[in-house]
Amino acid sequence: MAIADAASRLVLPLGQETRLDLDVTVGLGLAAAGAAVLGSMLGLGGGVFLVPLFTLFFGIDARIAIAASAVSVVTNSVAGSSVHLRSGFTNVRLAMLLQVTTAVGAIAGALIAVDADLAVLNGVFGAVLIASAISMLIRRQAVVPNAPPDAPDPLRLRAEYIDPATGRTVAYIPRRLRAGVGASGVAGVLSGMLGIGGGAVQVPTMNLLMRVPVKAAAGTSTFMVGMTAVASAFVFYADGLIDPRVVVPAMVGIFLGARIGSQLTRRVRTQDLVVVFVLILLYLGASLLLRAFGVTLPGQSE
Amino acid sequence: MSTGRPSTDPPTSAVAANSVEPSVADARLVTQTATAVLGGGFQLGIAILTLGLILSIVQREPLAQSIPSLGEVGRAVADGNAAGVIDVAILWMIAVPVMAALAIAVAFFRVREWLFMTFTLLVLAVLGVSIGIAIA
Repeated sequence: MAIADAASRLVLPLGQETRLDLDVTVGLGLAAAGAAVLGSMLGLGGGVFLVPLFTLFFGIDARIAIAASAVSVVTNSVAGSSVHLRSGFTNVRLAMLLQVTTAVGAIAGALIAVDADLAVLNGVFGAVLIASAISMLIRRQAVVPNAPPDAPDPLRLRAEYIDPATGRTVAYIPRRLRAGVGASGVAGVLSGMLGIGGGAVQVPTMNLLMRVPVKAAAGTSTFMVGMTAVASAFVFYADGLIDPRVVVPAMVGIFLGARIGSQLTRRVRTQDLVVVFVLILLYLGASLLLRAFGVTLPGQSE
Repeated sequence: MSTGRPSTDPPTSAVAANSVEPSVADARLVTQTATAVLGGGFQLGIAILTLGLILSIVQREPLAQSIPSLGEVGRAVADGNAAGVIDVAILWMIAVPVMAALAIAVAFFRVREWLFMTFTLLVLAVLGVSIGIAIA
């Protein structure tokens, strides 16, 4: 029953056909790759762009797009975590501490998404995109000092890694654990509700609030978002929202796009493109907010 | 790690060093375990997905609209159905982080990190609730 309901939710630009044509499949894959390139360069993750693109330009039901994004986030996390773990950037202990509330939040978010009105989902997603754009404009580089060896570390969360850029060992002890655990729960709710990895909240939380160096925050977040998205993905599976016709091109596109994005990040000064990225985020955010009120912009799918 | 502290406070330095060194060694075991499960799981998942897509092209079978129950997926795979193999690839990818969490819990147990083993078991319990919702 749930599966039949879910199938009826998929509305394609080609009409009411239940089979995706090859050009639509390729289009979804390219859109996912583009979303991943942007998300990777901005450090936000591909899901932030994938869901709006699928919803606004392919007419895919937001819940199916969110479920596809969640599965893609898992795949990308599984692939990327190995690299971060080998580099020593991932603090597994910190990840497991924060993951408890994040996973609870993700299940709650997914249950909200399954039953939420589409207008509410579009509105919340639009607000998150606009908040991310504003955050990018005002974000400042945090200076994270090395952890003093006598700093209190009751949970033994101290970690260190060798920064490949400088060749130096960077040691740190995460601070403000309670606040970090609470913020992780919020990241989990947003992740489960919107199909985004939660890194857009998790990385700034760890870096700015808990004083974890950016590379360690990114590595730990990449590891965490997979488990976070898993918690919601099973809920989406139970509701018949995981549509392989959308998930497979999304998985492949996100995986390839994230690799291209990480290569481009090394060659292109991302800071030079921030204004363009912010405009894209604002456009997508405003589009989703308008759609929440029943307004569709020209060139977008109904 | 050198602290630059004068040697007038040896007990504190010694305690700090003793509390850190085993932790770093233990962390390495936990990290290696997670890396092995995630890396191996990803490669197997990609292999299954590739097989499913090749079968889909050979059999000229379009992708399914949704993933059915686990029993139906099993029957589809037994019949050599491409959609079933692709469903397995998707479900496998979703399961890999759960297996990683399980392996990490075992690794924490091996290094007697009871607190973090408990955190990891809590995470597994939460993921178990999610899986329970999926199966119910």
